[in-house]
Amino acid sequence: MITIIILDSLSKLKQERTSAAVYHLLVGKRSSQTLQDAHIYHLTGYFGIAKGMDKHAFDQKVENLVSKHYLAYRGDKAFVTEKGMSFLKNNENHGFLLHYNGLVYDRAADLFYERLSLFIQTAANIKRGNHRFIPVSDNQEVLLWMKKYYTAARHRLQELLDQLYGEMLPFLKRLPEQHADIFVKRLSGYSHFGMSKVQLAAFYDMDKYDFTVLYQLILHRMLNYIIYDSTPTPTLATFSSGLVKEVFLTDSARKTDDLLKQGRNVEEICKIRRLKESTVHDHLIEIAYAQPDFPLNNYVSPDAVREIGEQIERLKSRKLKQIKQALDDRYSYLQIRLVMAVYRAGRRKGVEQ
Amino acid sequence: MTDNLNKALEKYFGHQSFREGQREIIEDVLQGKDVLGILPTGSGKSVCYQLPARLMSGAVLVISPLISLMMDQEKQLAASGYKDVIAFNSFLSVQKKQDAFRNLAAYKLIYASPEMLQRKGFVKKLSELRISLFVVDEAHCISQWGHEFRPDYLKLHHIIETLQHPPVLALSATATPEVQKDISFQLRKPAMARHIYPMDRENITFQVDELETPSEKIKRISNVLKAHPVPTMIYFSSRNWTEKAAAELSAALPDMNVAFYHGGMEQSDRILIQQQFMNDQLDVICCTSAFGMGIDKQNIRLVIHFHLPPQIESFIQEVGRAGRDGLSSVSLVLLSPNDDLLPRKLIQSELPGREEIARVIRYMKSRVQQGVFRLPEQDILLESLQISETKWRFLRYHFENHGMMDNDRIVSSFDWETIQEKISRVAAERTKYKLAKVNELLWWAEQTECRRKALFAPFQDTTKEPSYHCCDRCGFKFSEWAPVTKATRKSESYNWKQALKQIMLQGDSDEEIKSG
Ligand SMILES: Nc1ncnc2c1ncn2[C@@H]1O[C@H](COP(=O)(O)OP(=O)(O)O)[C@@H](O)[C@H]1O
Ligand SMILES: [Mg+2]
Ligand SMILES: [Zn+2]
Repeated sequence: MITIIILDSLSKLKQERTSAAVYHLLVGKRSSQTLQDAHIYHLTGYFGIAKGMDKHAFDQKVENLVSKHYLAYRGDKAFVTEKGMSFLKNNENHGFLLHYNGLVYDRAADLFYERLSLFIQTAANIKRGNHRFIPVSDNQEVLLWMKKYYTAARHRLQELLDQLYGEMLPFLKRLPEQHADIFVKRLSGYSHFGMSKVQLAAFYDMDKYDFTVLYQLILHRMLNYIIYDSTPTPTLATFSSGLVKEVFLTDSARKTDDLLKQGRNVEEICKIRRLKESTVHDHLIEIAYAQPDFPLNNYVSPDAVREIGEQIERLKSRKLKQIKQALDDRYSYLQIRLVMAVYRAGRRKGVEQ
Repeated sequence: MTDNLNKALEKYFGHQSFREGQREIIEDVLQGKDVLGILPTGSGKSVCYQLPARLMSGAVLVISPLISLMMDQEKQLAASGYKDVIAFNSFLSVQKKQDAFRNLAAYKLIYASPEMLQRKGFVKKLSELRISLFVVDEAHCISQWGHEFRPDYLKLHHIIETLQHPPVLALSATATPEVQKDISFQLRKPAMARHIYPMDRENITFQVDELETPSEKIKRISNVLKAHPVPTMIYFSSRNWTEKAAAELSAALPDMNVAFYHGGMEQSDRILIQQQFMNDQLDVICCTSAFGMGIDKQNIRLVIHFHLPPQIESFIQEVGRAGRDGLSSVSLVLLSPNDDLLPRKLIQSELPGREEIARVIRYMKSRVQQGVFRLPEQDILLESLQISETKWRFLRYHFENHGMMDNDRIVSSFDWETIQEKISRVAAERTKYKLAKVNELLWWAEQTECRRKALFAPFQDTTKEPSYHCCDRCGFKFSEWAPVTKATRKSESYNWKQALKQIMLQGDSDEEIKSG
């Protein structure tokens, strides 16, 4: 998995950055260079999905790709060879890449999971009459949250477990069997402790970092499911609430955003800022990714949002041209990109209705 | 009184009766005596102050060097419903620390690391409370001759004085007579009531095997475990080795669940692995000494030392995790040539060498010359001095001792050369002492006399009669060992839908799951 993520990233960087930029992206380095790269090259999804990976391990993976002739060097920049591109496109995991939403879910994914798994463990133990159990999380922030949540929830633990089960099941059924296995195997319940990440990786004979990014994929998909899938998930949503925050904007995009908030339209902004229309469009995309309350409907009608969204889902592709054609060229690139942005930024359900 | 104590034990902790030593210590504590209690690991020393905490008015202050242990205890107490417990240490968030400071009077049981007591504000807060008992856990840390000397512990007598001499309870699992004397001297409590209980456990059998190579050690372990599939801990001195051995043993023992544990793992994984082992989901854990503090698993049948720890005291503690339930258990030590190199290297990395001492003194001197007396934040300091925290702790203690430093400030300029010379000499002595400790254990392993007698001789006059086998020197053979086993089962087929139903208490988990 991580190898195709590296390939995909390098192909999008178009030899304009060295592979170190990919490393910084994957480990989630919070520098403006890395954040800008993420936005400009449409790599925000991969931000921070391999935290803790050491540079040496990363370099080895790159070298490995070079020795397989998937990557080659031009000067100090690596590029993806034709062989590499076809490996990437035909990889069984290629379709999953678009689910990553790293910049938005950075930190949130793990905290969400800790809350959820701690609650399931707590509820299961208390329901079974076991009040003395060692919690699976000792993160102060999570424990504090749980204390509050539990106070309100303690009289309807079974009901909440039932609801969570009902909301999780359709999601897990959508996943490949192995991914659902992994998710469930890590959960702890009454008198049962889940498997650790290291154990799971060993069980599936996976490289440590392949597993790391796969695990993040599952969590990101779950958050995507909670936040913008049409299936109602009111109970799961209580576990992610407050965690998914605004993303940084580049300075230039922020200026555009200020003008938008003053009521200017794209044309006016181009004049005021002496920018090309395409640049301001890029800013719009960046803002749409970053802000959950982006007024999408000012640019795309609710019906169009639904139609474009369905098409993206159906094609499992981020190729604009392909999507545009599939929609009979009825929508502009900007419109499709905006829907994609809002869609992938994890817009809250119901906003577009 | 006696009856009431029993009732209180049952009421607050759910235990039916006291274990050896507990009642005697608690009775003395409740009478306001200063007490020294030496009880083996796992014998229940915590009850000796946790029960008084429930019975006495005022708060009980517990000094403990083991932050992880402290947190475990706080967690356990919180899990059993005690809200009036707080542990002060570097892991506590600033917010929580401030809240706790404000409400300090609300707590019955206050754990603090010795470092916390360096903070004048904290001590002042404490002195405004009524501290009814001052507990020094792991009290051997106070002695230069203890195996885990902590300079911070040496200042405890000042704190005791500031708190107007509450009764003192010092507890340790391992202390030679020499260390016992030192504890009472360092706390300035010459007349402590002493409750010393022997550390040897009659249900543990000792064996030492000499092998040529590490891979022979692995082979030996897998043969033992094939014949005796029992809950097992295997100690290593390096993280890498725990991972490597776990992988090899998993392959060699397909019917057993093997995992590794060390301090470098992700926190959530650490909790899962530790609890799986506690919960009998794992059979074998390959670990460093980071595992096991506060571990209270009853049915560990076998403790293997792939590498020896750097001193006898740690070895006794680690072996003491076996057979808490009193059933037959074995300690197996695996030796190979050059096994002493690693601990030697470790010791040399713990104490500052001449060069390093000179470098630090130069740094301090140059600061004073520039008129800067305050030292930077510890992280920055360590970074710029290129020195480990352990080494710095040692040096700071000695600087303070020589009156050179007070609370992160260099007091004034000094006869640097003399001090450098003195500290270098102390460091060299400590190194020599620690290396001698390593040799002690190796020497023990090579003795031809009874292992049990030789191991406990420095700590006590006699050893108990073993209830199963004694040791290989007294004729024990693994082939004769018949331990009670309760191996975990490996599940063959896995169905996440079934598993999820079970975890989330969804009706009858055996029922057919509808597809869809
Ligand atoms: N009187 C008792 N009866 C049964 N179990 C006890 C008793 N006292 C303590 N324990 C248990 O023994 C275990 C070890 O106690 P702990 O205080 O951590 O030991 P130590 O500090 O001496 O190593 C704990 O699980 C505790 O609940
Ligand atoms: Mg203890
Ligand atoms: Zn013997």
